[in-house]
Amino acid sequence: MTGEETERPGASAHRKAAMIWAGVFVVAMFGTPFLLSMTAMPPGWKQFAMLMPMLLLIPMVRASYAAQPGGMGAPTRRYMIRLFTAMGVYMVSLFAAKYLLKHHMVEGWAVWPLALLPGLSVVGAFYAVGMLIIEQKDEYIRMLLVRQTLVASALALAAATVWGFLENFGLVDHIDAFYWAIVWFFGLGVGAIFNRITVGSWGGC
Amino acid sequence: MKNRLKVLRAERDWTQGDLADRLEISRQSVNAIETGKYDPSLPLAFRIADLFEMKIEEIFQRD
Repeated sequence: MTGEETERPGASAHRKAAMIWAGVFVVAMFGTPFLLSMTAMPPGWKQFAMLMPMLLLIPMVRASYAAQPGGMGAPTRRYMIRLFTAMGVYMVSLFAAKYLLKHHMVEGWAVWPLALLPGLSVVGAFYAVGMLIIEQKDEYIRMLLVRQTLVASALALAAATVWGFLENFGLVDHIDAFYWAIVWFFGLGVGAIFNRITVGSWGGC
Repeated sequence: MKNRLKVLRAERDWTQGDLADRLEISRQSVNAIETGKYDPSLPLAFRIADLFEMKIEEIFQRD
């Protein structure tokens, strides 16, 4: 057969599994708050329980990659492990910090490591993206990743700069600086769309 | 840059996946090179030329 790519064996099953996991994730995201509203769980634990559906993203992403030609390469596998580890540390550290500080269980210098951990775990997510670019052996995929991160960086820096001046002149409200990290991760999605439109492929993170 | 990758691949009855496996790159890369959306680096161009046992300029030409 000379023409285009034939589908890998099992790719259809993996794609179906990814769709099912995505469906379960959406149901869990909407269903969890509903179920929690009917329970007498303390508010802090409720916030933690709200994050549990995020764990469903792991099998969804694994199935999604398995459906692709070539499956999940070693750099992507390491990226997923690093990213989910960073996200896990972020969720646990943020919950722990909020809970401990709210109940005045920690004070003085000990507040510093508690306050630093959520931020540093987001830095871990930046590190995961950086290492994905470094470890990626395929030069075309690496180019797509670099373009994605350039778009994300441009978007986040531009938004932060413009907002900063607007805030300085009293035109908009103050927003916490960590939101620019969220804008950056959103920018990765914009970068993937930019890649798709300009070169026909999404990219890898 | 133009290239004859698709023709050379078809002559050998290879799919894009077959060529990608032989070059140890992704199928996306093969597709991007074939359709002229991406020009490979010199090392990759040499690997492609070596695989087809041809000179680089016999596979890749200026627009």
